[in-house]
Amino acid sequence: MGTVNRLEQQVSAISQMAPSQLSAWINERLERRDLILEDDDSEESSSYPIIAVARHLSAAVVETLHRAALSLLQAWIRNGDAEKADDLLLLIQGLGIKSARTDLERLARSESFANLSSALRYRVLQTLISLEANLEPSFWYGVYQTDRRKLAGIVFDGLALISPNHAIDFLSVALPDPVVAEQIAASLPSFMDDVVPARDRASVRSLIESRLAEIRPPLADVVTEFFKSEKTPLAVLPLPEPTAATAPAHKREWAISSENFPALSAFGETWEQIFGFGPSNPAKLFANLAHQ
Amino acid sequence: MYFREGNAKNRLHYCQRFSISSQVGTFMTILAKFHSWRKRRSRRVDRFPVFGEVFDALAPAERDDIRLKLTTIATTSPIGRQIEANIGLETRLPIDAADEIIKALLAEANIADRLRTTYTQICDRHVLTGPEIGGKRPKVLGRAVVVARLCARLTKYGRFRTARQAEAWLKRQCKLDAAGLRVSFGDIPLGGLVTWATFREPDRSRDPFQPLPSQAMDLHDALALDAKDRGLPLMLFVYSPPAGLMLRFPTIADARWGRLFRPAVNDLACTCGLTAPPTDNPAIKPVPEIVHKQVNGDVLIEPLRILS
Repeated sequence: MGTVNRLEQQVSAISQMAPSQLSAWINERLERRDLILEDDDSEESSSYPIIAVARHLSAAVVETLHRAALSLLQAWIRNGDAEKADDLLLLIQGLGIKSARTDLERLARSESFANLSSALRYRVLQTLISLEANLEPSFWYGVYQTDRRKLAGIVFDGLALISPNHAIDFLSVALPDPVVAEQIAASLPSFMDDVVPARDRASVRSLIESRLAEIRPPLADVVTEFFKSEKTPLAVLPLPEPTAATAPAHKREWAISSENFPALSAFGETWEQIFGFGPSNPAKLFANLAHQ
Repeated sequence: MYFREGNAKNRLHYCQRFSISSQVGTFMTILAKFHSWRKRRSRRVDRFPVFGEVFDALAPAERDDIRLKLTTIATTSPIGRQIEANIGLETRLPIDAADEIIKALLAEANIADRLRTTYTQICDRHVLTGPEIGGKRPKVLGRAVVVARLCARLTKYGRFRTARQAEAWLKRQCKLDAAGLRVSFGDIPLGGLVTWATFREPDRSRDPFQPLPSQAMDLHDALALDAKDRGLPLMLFVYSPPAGLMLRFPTIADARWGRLFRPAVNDLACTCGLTAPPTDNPAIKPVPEIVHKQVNGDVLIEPLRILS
């Protein structure tokens, strides 16, 4: 069982490293210079072998690996050495290093963010999405304004992490462009599987379908096409009240305002005006979902 | 001695004799000896180790230098050890590629890191240069890819924002028939610039995965995939190679700095490469292995399957 032994040797070599050695080793690996995981594929990220071997490491070693990667990220943010940044960010995504969220969020809000290349800006935002960063809607709408065509998909994903309703709201204002439609089409399967809780899927589908008239083609087409191929049953309303077990993992940290709910502002200036409709109105459904 | 290793011992011994001759005889004499020796040897031997010819053309000092450098490669990394052995066994790489590799290594300092970089750089220039496989052209090819690796790749190249998105999308593709898949996968490459594939023997027109193990781990071993991913779900692509697509023997250049590659068996009866399963399990046998240029999913002919 030669290879198994070799994998064990790789695991053993990584496990025996001190934290400082681990940082140096990650650096070498990202430059494809290390000898422990040297058999990589040049068309893949140089970080993938670390991600692949991580599932064979003990929790303690993985934790140290996370800390080492985080320190490299902080060094990159400080020094701006962009050479390995792309692979480092892919490593953070692959290992799911949630502790990197704060630093990445700070970077994304800083002035230096605009100085990064567009590819790196995309990678930073992608990493925030991957780490399930719960940022306020105005942040994502700000990102959207920087490149409405290329970043629409990432904005949809970011808004979906706040709540599905924000993402649905965004569909009605997103640029009606085939490139944007393609990005939304790529997002929808995971949006329904991973973002929307299982018990709400039918309601969310119903909500989206009820708002199809507001969504412009070709976005409306990809949404229609997606649900046509899905087997999700239609909603049985009203939605049950959230319980401790079903409550969202992230607490909302942003104000409920018409700024954060741009599509809702069309229904009225105040909450009373907004919710002064009959029970079958989509806004009512929206409010129920937002409440969760 | 560099050549006195592995199962190619007998054939390689000739190269040393050949090498002595080259120092005293003319090129024609050598060629005549070469052919007469080849006649005397088993007729099953298909070709001669390509690097043997390159070494013989070197000056004695260069020969010593290249042996020193190959020893450095072999002694400083586990994969380097395999690379050094593969160089001795390679018979399908074009001679000019072998020549360029050796000349580049000779020009490089004897530092493991630099030798490795140079070696892989030259290999990159000579990918997909092996000869076309022998026998009847396979009508159906198969590729098994680790789902997590595929998702990571789709994320890296921006097709999806996250690996979870890619996975959710892929799961839905498994419900599509082949015609639907050809549309949805139409612009997605099934492999890298050098795509590795297998096919069924002896009936080369049928699904290659039917006779192979149905457990992901066993299939992983049979195809000699990366051990780090062993145990993860595999996605199976079954496709028909387009008419103009050349199906080639894999060479050391295609494998680059690969741990699990072994050059094709040097036998006339061997019409393609073979995987080298990294296991002692006798139930898991080597399977055919070829390389070809990148193709997109518009050639798929079977629905996707995920093995876990």
